[in-house]
Amino acid sequence: MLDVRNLRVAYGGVHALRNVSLVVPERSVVALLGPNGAGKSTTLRAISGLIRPEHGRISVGGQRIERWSAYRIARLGVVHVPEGRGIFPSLTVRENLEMAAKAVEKDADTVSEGAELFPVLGTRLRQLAGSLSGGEQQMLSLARALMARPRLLMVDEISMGLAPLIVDQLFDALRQRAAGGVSILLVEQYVDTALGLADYVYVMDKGSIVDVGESADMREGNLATAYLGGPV
Amino acid sequence: MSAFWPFIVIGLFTGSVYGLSAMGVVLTYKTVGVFNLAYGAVAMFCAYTYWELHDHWHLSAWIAMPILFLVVAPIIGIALEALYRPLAGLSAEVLIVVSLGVLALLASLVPIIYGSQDRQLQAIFPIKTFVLGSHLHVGYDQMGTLLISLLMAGVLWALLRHTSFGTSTRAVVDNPDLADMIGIHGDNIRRAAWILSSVFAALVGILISPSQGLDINQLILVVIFAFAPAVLGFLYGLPAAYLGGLALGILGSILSKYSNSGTVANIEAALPYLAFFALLVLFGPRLKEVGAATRPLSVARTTSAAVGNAGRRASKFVVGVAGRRVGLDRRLAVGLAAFVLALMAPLAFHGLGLFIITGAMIYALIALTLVVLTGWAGQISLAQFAFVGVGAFTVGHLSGTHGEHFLFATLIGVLLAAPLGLIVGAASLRLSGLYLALATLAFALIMDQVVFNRVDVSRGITGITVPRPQFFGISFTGRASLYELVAIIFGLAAITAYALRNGPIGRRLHILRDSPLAASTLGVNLVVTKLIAFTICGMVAALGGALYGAWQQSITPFDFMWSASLQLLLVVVLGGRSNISGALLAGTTFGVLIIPGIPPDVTKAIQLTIAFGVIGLAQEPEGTVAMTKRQTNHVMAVMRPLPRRRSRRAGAAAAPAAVVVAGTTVAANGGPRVNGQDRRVAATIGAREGTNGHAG
Amino acid sequence: MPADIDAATMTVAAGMEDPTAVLSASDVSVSFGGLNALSNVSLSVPAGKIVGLIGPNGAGKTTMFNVLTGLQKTTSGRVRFMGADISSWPTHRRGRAGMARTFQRLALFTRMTVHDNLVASWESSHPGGVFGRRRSERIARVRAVMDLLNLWPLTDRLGGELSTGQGRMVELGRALCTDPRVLLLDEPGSGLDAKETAAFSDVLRMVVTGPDMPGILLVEHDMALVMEVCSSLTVLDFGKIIATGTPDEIRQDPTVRAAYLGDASVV
Repeated sequence: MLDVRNLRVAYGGVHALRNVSLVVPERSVVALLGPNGAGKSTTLRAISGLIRPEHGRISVGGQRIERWSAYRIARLGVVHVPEGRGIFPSLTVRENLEMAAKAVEKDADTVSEGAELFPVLGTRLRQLAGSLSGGEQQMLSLARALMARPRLLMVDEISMGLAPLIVDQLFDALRQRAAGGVSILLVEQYVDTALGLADYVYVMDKGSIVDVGESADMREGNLATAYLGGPV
Repeated sequence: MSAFWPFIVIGLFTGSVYGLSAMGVVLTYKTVGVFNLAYGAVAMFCAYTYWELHDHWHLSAWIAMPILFLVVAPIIGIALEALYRPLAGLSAEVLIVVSLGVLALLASLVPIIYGSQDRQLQAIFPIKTFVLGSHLHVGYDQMGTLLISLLMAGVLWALLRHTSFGTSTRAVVDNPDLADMIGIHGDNIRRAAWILSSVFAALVGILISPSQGLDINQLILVVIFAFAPAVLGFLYGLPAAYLGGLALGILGSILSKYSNSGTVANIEAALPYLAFFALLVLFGPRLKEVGAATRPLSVARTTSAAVGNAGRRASKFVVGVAGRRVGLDRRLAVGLAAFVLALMAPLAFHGLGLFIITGAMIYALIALTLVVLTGWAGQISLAQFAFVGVGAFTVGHLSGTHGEHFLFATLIGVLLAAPLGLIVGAASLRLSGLYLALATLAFALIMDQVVFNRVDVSRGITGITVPRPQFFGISFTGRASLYELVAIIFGLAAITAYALRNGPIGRRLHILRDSPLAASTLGVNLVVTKLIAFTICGMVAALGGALYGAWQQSITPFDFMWSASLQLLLVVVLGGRSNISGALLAGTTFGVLIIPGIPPDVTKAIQLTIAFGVIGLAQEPEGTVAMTKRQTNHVMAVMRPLPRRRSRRAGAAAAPAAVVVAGTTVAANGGPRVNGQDRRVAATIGAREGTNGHAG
Repeated sequence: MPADIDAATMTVAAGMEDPTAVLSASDVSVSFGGLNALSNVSLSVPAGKIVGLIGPNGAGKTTMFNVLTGLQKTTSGRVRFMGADISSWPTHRRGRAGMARTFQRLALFTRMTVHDNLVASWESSHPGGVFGRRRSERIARVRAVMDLLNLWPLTDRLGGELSTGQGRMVELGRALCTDPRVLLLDEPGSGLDAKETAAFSDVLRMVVTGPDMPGILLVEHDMALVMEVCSSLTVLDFGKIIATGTPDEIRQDPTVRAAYLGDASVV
């Protein structure tokens, strides 16, 4: 589904990513782990087109996209749920959910689907998204992304600021989508949770990939201790 | 009651002009995220274009209108979109300055393209009137304007709230990155929104120009009248803006029934501005700037040198004094040297030249208040010249007309500015950013109408004569002596400001701009701090006014109009609003602009350059000084042969400024810095592994 | 980490107001626009202890913080600090009295260096600070905090250039420079990776054992952090307290599991 080769990204003379290569096979879930500052979010932003890479190839479903603009990449079915609040604060919850259909199906009833996924959103449809609590905004952000019928879903630290119960619900939703054939690339803070969902794991540090393997194997590995701060 | 009807009807027609303009301003703000102060200028430019096509080239309206609406206005829209695209996320004062640049550009383009002769306009609508009720003659043009504006209100409201396009524009303004990621073509949407805004401006222009006349300043002003209803529009939507405009028109019309005496006439004239100020302050906390919520998520630019530093970073000259080594702050040393040089200027400059640099220094003093207030404390003020005017006219009256002692007159002027500073400061307690800027603008406009335009204050066009100062037995009548006086005062002010900047007071102001919320929870009394800042800066501006009056010796209300305050903000932001040298640059610009005898083309060229200069703000929002500093640092860094040795406390190797992206930092070496925290954790893990054999 | 079972903890666990607490709220209710954001919430923070305030999103935790810091008016209820009723005190007065706070989204002074963030904080909270008085005291205190949190490598970095992990540490340092008696930390673990979270836990434990013995009230979703450092927890849902107790008790409480923790063995 996703094939990234030799990605190099620089900001103002600083190399944020050096020679990153990774693959997300069809219908699988891949976790991207590593300490803060490793370049995980940068990788996602390069794939979704918010950052132009200096060097490297990015292909989605066989289509080369490294020179494409973000909105074009989005229309290809690549949905990025960004770190932080990926919502429109001065639009209502309803309007935020309606936006989800922009890229793909115009007729989908994204509002009802979103409310079904996260009932609390259903009770706040007319509220301005900016007035929701932090976690509710995160839920809205994910709901919007899921409604957009992604082929490749990239999720950046979705659990940040969320209650454990909700994190469970989110990951159940992700699990369902994965079972339904969506490829998922997951950057996640909670290593356990990520490993519970992912088929494969890449570990990044200082702008490069330092380890890769199946998640079952990663549980045993020593690299986990060194990079992730503890056995998993 | 029946006596009121004619006034109400007339008020409806005037009001529909306000309502139209207000809708245009609100439309632009909501769909594009820019409060376009130059909206009236766009409308005016389009009006001029239309009349050129229609009157001058004698094209029929059926040809001229499509050209205007389908060609000219869209081109303007696309040009504006291209201009504003790199400026997204910049602070309110920078965006205001950009729209001022656009205003200046359009205003200077009109005489260049269309010449400056007077024009006779043919009406769009038939020049007939019909009779309403028993005696009221209503023009077809007035009726037509009213009906069209009603129609547009409905159409635009529906467009904004109930179409996918409307929602998309608001989404793009709110979170442009996210809009792109969703698959909304942000650039296209923005272009369409700007085109819509310009087309509507063109409509406003041709509808109101027959009644207002085709006068640059008049047309620009009409839109400013519309700012009050625009505030209602920000809160309650386009129809509210329109209805507010109607209300304003009716109210003004009814008041005009009573305006025979001077005071009421002034208040009636100031009504739109009083309403503007009142509405802003009243609704203050509920007014949210568009796109403000997502600024932290977008890529932030690194700023130039740190501010408020407690002396740790100041580079020093090390001087041998009496056998001991003394560190002298480098910038202070340079400043003192410049000061000494400045005092010697009368040796090189005489007559007119000396006059001009005196004026430049007075302007720099006034600019300094804006640097402190806006650059440091983050409180945008478009009212500084109102304080300048207070100082000037007080000295003019007391010292000029009544022969009082200059120092006494100045003191009174400065004291008079204090309560006014408090009023403006009070607005800052409820407002910030764009809305604070607008409130201070409203204040300046009110001062213009209610105070400066009063004949007993300003003697109208004739103005007041201000004598040169005389005190302590010294007469400062001569140009050289006045210059020295001004130079000393400015020098003291600059040195004081510099000393404050790096000290606790400077830090207090800077945290006010960076994060008032955090400051408040740490113990800063925001109310007191803001009020003091505004009051003192107002008082110093008034001092500048006293000097201004003494320098120019003849002052009229036109010297202190709202446009002077806007111009001040423009040159200060361009120069560098966070630096004292920015104030100097502003003063220099002023000096250049007042050189008499410059051919008009050169003046226009200078104005155009300034207008284009705002584009440079995209590169360096902190202005020219910061840009120069950055380039100088870059050159110095390249030229420096060896890395500087650092003390143990200063820690890791010299790093170029890192770039902030969405809250994470990529350090210079491409990874998380090995700082004390990591060492601590490593030590803890090591210790635990030593004892229990497992970490965590 | 074994919970300290002592009188203070027992009192808090019982949901009663503790007279020895540095900070306490009694029967606080907040409603706006027909919505009950908080209903009869009481809690207390003893000196030298870390109390956790947890609960689902939108439960009212940040509202509670805003009430305690004076940014939000209450419909009813009182807030007591160091024995005094501060319910009517404005925010800045509370800050000066020794109540310090950090923010969910970092609110650093972005244009100032890390060092000056701390200096400005000291000056803001100590009378006369803005005039440069008690300079030696200020220098000593800032130095002590920089030492404690090992911020020296970041001294000259601008606030706006820091990573989330660094920023959180600096914000904590800034709060400590006010010589606080109570610290209100709003999701300080958010955005920290495992290493940074562990370091932060260590720091928090060190802070409460310092000479002033400040109390800490911690809002947090990272259960690992919460269970590590807190001696007692208060759980909020829909603006009401649904449970209080020690971490072990809360961990097993079925109401809390149903409403907030889920069944995952992450905790």
